[in-house]
Amino acid sequence: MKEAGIKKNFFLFLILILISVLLLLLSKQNWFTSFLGWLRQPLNRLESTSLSSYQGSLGKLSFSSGAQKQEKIFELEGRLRQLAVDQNKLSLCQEENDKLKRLLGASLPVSWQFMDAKVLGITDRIKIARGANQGVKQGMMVVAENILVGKIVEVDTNVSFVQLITSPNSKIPVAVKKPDSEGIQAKGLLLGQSGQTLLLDKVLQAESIQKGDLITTSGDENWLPDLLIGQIKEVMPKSAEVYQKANVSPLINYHDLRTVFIIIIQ
Amino acid sequence: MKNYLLLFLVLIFAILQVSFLPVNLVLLVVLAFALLNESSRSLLFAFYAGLILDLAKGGPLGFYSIFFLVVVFVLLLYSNRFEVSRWFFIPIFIFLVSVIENLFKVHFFVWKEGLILAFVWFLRITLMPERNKDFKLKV
Repeated sequence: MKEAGIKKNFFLFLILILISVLLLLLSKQNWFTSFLGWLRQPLNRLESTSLSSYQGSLGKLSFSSGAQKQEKIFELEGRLRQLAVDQNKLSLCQEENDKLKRLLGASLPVSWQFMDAKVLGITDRIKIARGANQGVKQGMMVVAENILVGKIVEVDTNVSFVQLITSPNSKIPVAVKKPDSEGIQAKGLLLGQSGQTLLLDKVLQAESIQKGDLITTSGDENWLPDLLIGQIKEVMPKSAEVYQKANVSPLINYHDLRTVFIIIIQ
Repeated sequence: MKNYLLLFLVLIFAILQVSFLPVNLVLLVVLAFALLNESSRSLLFAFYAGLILDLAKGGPLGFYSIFFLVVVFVLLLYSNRFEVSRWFFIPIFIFLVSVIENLFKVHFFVWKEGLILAFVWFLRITLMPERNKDFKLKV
């Protein structure tokens, strides 16, 4: 009796697995693209509403506990971010200016265009309301307030998924820059730590890094150069290891994002 | 509760977990359903719940259907030999399933989500201990 039951369930299990595999293969071949796009539209709206309500309620909760204090913190955080962005822009402009002076007639840097995208969901990845239909491709960079958010890892018809730089499997080649001087101070690898912290690794002991230094993309391994990421929070004490490490805090809170920008290179 | 109402609950959980909740609440519903219902119904429910989650998440259909089907089937096979109503079994099972899910999803060992889900389940059995006696899961 029991054997017959197991056989029956195994048979049902196999059929359902086969159907699922078939669905998986067919949808990977874009067979249901338009149908799924149509079906997902109301779901995307619901997800967006749900995220807005969540962010709104979070805001209200923090406001009720020392509203003025919180407001001041937000304001200061905003100013700090703006300052970091400005400093980075300024040092980049200075560098660019020097280069142009030296290399008169050389080609200008590639022009970037930005496509805005509404955030639909934020978990381990960010779901945005732009997809293949709008020209989004895998590997494109996503920024907010000129600060790097992540890279597009999956593209669907009308939505895409952005892997956050804080994701545990995110590894970005970065450059360390002094806020008030030009040029690169050090190079390293920025590792996601799942949460709101990042780890700067593979920085040679001979290179000098300190608290407050800015972290930008170095432009290696298909990452666009000079995109601001964060600021060094704490340099770990020097050890016998070949490389030194530092904790980096991102300049934006990814869970507060409502709109992001996709960089399109012309 | 009627099955379609449960599937509606799955849809709500799917929307929540896609928007901001970093834990797989649908997995809890699928497991709870599997523990309280006959195995053939549980397999069908796992299949539908997976499709709903795939639909809400975006990307190709079928991944979560396969995942939930395998989870329920493993639970079924285990329940044929061992006792599943012991208080510690399901939380540990949930933790392991969540870790495996994250290994597939982000290719990284993430344990916090599993711990939260296991705790939620543990809370459920602590608050409603009488429901544990209803566990059927018979082939």
